[in-house]
Amino acid sequence: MAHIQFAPFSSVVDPGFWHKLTEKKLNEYGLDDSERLIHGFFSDGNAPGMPPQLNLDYLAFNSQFNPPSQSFPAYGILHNTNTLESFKEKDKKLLLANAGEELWKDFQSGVFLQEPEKLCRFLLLTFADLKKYHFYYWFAFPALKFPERSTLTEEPAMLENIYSPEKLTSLISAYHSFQTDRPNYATCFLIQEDGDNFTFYEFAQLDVLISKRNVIVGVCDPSSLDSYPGWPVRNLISFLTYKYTGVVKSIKVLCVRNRTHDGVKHFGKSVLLTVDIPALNKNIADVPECVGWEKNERQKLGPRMVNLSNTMDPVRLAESAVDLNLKLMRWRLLPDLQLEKIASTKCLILGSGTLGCNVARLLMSWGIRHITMVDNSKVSFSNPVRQTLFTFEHCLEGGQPKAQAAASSLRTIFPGMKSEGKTLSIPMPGHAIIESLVEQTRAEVKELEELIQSHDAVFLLMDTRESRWLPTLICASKKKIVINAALGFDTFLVLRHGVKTGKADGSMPSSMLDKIAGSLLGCYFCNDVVAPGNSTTDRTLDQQCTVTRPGISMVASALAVELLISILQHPLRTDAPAEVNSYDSSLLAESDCSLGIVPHQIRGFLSRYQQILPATQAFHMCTACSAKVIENYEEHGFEFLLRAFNEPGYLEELTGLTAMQTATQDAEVWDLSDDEEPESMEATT
Amino acid sequence: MAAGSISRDEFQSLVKKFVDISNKIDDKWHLVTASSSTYMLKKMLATTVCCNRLENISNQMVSDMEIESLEDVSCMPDVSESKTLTYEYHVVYNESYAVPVLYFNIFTNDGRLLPLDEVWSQCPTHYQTHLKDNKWSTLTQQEHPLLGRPFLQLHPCHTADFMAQVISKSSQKINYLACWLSTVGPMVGLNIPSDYMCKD
Repeated sequence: MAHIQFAPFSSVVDPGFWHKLTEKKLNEYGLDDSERLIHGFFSDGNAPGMPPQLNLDYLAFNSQFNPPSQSFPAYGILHNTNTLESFKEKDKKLLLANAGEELWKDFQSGVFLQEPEKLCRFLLLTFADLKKYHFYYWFAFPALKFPERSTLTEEPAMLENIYSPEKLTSLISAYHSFQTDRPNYATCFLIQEDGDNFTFYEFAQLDVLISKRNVIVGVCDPSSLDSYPGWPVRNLISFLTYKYTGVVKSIKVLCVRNRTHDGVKHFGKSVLLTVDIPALNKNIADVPECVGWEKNERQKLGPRMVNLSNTMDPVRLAESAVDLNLKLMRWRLLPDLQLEKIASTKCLILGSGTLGCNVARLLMSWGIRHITMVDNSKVSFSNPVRQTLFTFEHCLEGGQPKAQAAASSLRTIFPGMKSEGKTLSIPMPGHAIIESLVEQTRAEVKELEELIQSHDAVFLLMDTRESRWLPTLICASKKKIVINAALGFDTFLVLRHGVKTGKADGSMPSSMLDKIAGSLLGCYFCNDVVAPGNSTTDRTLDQQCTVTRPGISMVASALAVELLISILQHPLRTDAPAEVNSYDSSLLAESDCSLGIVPHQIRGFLSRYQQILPATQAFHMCTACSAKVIENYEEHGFEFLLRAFNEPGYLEELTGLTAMQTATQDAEVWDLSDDEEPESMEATT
Repeated sequence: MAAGSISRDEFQSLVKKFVDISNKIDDKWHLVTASSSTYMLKKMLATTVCCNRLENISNQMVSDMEIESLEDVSCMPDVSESKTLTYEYHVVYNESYAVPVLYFNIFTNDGRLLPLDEVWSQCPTHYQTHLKDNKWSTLTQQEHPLLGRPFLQLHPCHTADFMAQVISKSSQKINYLACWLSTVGPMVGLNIPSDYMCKD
């Protein structure tokens, strides 16, 4: 008769187990690598084709372990090593031999009579690399080679082939009334067969009942394979052989397989084995060989490694949580919102003061990941209370460079940020460059050009008007989105620069507009009839520094960021036209963009809690964005810029402003000035 | 309670009834109590059409440690390891939306969660188009409110609206949980037998 072959367990580790192991290692085990008792469980209800599995979940570490309902416990020992080296060096043969010795001792003591479920054991060797969230592990399901092979005295029989349906029903109901009376389902039990009736007994009655002809030893079997009983049956048969060698000739073992079909349980696929109990020398002093290391996915005896950084690394978890918040906005309110367009926008923030810090924070809230902060100063003691990316610590030891400090704060707040800080001075018209500094200035201009080139949107948030000239010019040449924000004491201006994409230029006749095409909109300098010059020389300290109502920066920053988002979401992007009339009727009209209109300028007056939305056209003599200036810059590059920095009046001369000023002086243009013109606004941070 | 939402007490009694029916038909749902909240859980096993993303990366260290198989005549011959996935479903009450939320994970035998895009591809194809434009079934990875680990979640933001519609259209009392689960569940591989649909 053929010998029995058993289907080994496959391990199934619930993600919760790894989470719990991590928690234990960090909070409890520390460097203590002594062995720990853990638990697993298996089911006898596997569908056909499913391998027998031993499950470990987050409850594995509980000292009082209750397997899930209708599951059976397995008793394990965890060896969690502190290093990969010790995981490697651990003597696997010895570990398994020790487990075999324990089993053998328990055979001898007869403890299994009372606790037959302890025949189902495992070892788990682990190393948790908690920097990378890599887990190395190797299971063993110890089984004794005792006897070397077990043979059957009869062909194995499937119950549905030998029992009538009535008899099977009777078996099932006897089984259930036995199991449900106990605190936990029993893995092993005794069944007395009497015609079509069955009586169940505790396994502890084994000695009394074993010699009776109509007694079957029942064991819950995780295997679903017709010809191979599962691993728990193996140790049970070893134990029975050990115990009754020479006493009985054979023992009937029922491998219970408890399947459910359409809500109905049936035992028909359970297998009845008649196991030959050979006469063996009982006084064996040597412990039988122990086997049972699990094979890995390549069918080799070896460990496995699982990388769980995706679901355990807090940085990645923060990223997905942040994304979800934004997605909620889309699901709940704005189905058209294109978050990818926002997330992929690279932003350059020139000026890392109150405006720069607030703008960066808000960009981060909108899911923008790539932010470069630029500034040329250090964090001073007055900064942190207004400049929301700095703390007192940043001011110590002379102060950290603002751009770098702001960029690193962004990453502290959210590690998913790709933020960088650059300390850079922006050359300005009217601030003459002395001979020795020409090369340095050339390098600074080059760096600024490269920065602008490598970003999609540029925020002009510096504290002087003239420092905005060079980036305005470069952005106009490179056709980048520019959002400009400037503050007065209780006033602010937020505006987008027209981007001369060449689109829509002719489509809207300028004479009859209530809208101005995006490409025709003015820049920060378009409304000025003087070129930017040195605005700081004659000012007192309070005029040079931040003297604004603190809320102004928050309001202006918020509007600046929302203006960028509106541009990005508008189907025409920078070509989105701006309304000239800020009448309710025109503003309430159906917009092309789910976020609403895309204004050109927002001017706010806190003393009146009022905002207006003017729109103005680009000025053909503008010192920063007119065709003449751009052409000269593109043709002569740095040499042109150097003249603009050094020669007062050069830009006015070039653009024709000088000529216009001469002409208009005679016409006394101020008599015609508009009462509605907002008051002059000095740029401060 | 706003239309379509339920209170925590209602939820508690609904899950109890649900699990009672499950026990009768052996549908494997059971109750779990964590942080003094009760939720309903079901785990099931399925074989998978193997996709490459499920393969674990091979590792030099691991292959260095492999040893020769020992002779063991009582062990069944090698079969190629069958790829199984465990599907785990949790129905948890959400206080702020006052509705039940379906959390679930699909994981490999070594404990790796299937990434979201892979879960999509496991969805029955006829549901995939459906999912794309169905707002109330929006799927994301979120922290489980009671276990603190990442789970996929069908976001609850549209559940109440949806259930309010169902309730208003139905002439008789419906089993809230069964009705909701049988609508959202099949998209993520969870089937609800009609036994639950009987009146309360």
